[in-house]
Amino acid sequence: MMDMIAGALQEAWLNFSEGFAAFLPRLIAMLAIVAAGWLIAAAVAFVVRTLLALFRFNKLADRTGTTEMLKRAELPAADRLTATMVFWVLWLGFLFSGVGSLGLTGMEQLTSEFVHFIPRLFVAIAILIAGFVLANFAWRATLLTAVNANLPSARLLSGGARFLVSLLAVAMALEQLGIAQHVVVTAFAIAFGAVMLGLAIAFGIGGGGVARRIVDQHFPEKPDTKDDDVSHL
Amino acid sequence: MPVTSLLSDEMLRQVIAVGQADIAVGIPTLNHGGVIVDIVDAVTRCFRTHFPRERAVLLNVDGGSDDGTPELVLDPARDQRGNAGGGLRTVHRISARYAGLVSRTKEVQVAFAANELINARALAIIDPDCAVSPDSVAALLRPVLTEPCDFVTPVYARSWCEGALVSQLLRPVVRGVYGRSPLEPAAGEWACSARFASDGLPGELWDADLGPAGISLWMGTTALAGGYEARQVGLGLRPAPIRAMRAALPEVFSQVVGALFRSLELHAPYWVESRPPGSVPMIGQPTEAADDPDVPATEPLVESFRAGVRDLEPVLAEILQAETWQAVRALSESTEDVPAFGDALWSAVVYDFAAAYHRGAMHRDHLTKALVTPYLGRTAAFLAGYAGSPAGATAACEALGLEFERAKPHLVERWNPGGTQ
Repeated sequence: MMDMIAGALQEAWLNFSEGFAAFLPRLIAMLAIVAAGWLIAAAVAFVVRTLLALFRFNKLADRTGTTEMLKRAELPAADRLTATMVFWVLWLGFLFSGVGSLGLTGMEQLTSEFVHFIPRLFVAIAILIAGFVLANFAWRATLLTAVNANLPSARLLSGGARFLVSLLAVAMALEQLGIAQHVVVTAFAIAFGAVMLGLAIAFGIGGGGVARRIVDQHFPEKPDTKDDDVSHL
Repeated sequence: MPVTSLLSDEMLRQVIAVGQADIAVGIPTLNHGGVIVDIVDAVTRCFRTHFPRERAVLLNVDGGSDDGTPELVLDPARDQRGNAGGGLRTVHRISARYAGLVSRTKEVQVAFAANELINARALAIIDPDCAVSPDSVAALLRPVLTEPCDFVTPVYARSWCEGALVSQLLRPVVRGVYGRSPLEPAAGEWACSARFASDGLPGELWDADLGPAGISLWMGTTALAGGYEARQVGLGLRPAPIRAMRAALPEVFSQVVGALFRSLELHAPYWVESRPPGSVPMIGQPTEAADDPDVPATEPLVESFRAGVRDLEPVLAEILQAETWQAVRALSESTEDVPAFGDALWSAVVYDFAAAYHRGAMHRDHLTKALVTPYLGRTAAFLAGYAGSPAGATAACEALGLEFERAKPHLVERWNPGGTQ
């Protein structure tokens, strides 16, 4: 009886030893990949940030209004944010690769999915950035046009333009990421349609006079109608 | 870019047929069929009456009129009507359209290119939207022919409350920055020498649509910064527009103030250095304008100013320095009927805008259009300040020019914060 127990223990020990001996190199490889990946990701992020500073990326972000939006969201400066994103994408890639080298069941599929997810993530980020830049441009253009045309509620109009463009960008980015795809598309279509329908009804019922004034102002009967009597040039 | 590549085949054929000339008048047109006949007749009479011995060319650069403008220019019947003053030489007329997008800037560039080939010593550019007389065209051309002169701008007799954009913004800025300014830095008509036109062909702003006033401003500042001899000549009362082409104020700002700020960028190496103030020599005496004009109402301007400052807060705060912005906001909230927008604050506002334009604080078209609101406030203050005593308005404009000169270091400092160009 004791011999059987001792034999079983010995066999279990042998199995454990063999398994551990086989796993240890993979563990060391994983740790090496993760550590090297961290170093490489940090180096690449540093290079990216240096290059962005060299090409005055923050100035571009200032001009496009991205800096202002980042400040409002309490995020770091544009060059630092970009470098941080590059670091995390690279290091997560190495991390998944390292974990994959352990040979754990299911990790290969997870790694593969992550690799396929990266391009979509970048496209989504690009859509968001372009969307916010466009939204800021639309906001300022609408605001200036409305103010210079003496339209009432200029800030409301321009804020609405920015909100709609931002909403469109967020919906497109989420759809790109595949996050609650159907819900996002449906919700966006309903919300956008509702806003537009609401505006149209509100303007039609309450803004008939305003519409008439705008049309009269832009399509006067006399072509030389003046906004003011001042001779500017 | 080769000169010939700027000219269409049709234009090149006509230019080659003309050969060499002594004087030329460029008339950019686009559907000016209703007015071009009178302009062509006036220019032809100018050639025959004032320059009978010179080889003269009327150069019509057309943007693609569909109302027969080029045909009217080339109509042989014009020879009969314009021949009243006699003349020893044939007056050549060229009319052809140019390739590319329609813009007044492009039309002037084509006129420069054509002049490069015909080698006229003096080239005048005429604004077809304003009436011209044979005498006024001759007055622009003559200094280039008879004096060491490369650029001539007109001086018009205008009442003190006309041309607020010129008197309150363009002239003081040009004077403050360049050290001197013609009285009309953005007139639609002007003249230049062959050397000036030839040197200006590789200019940087030909692709921008500056409009007639913007081009004039760019050319005038180029003359000042380039060391060319500039003159101004009195042409009497300012001709009224003969065609209703009143652009909206924001569009005027986009073209004219955009041209001004672009010119400041181009000529920064010239003006960042301290230069003694001077003046552009005047030929003849400007005619006095009627001294009892109808002063425009200031209430709409003040309303627009107050509402604009309130609504544009995030935009203006981004452009102006903190203390300037605070002062503008306090002014807009004042209880006065017409807020007293003083010279010092106005110069600080304009120079802040110029510096923001240079550093690319935002889209440039947005920036120039954002200046409309402060301008309306300043214009209202100026008009209200001298409505009862117009005699002081001229002195006030002089004081404004001096203020812009005094504040120039503020612009230089903001233009170049690092201390290097």
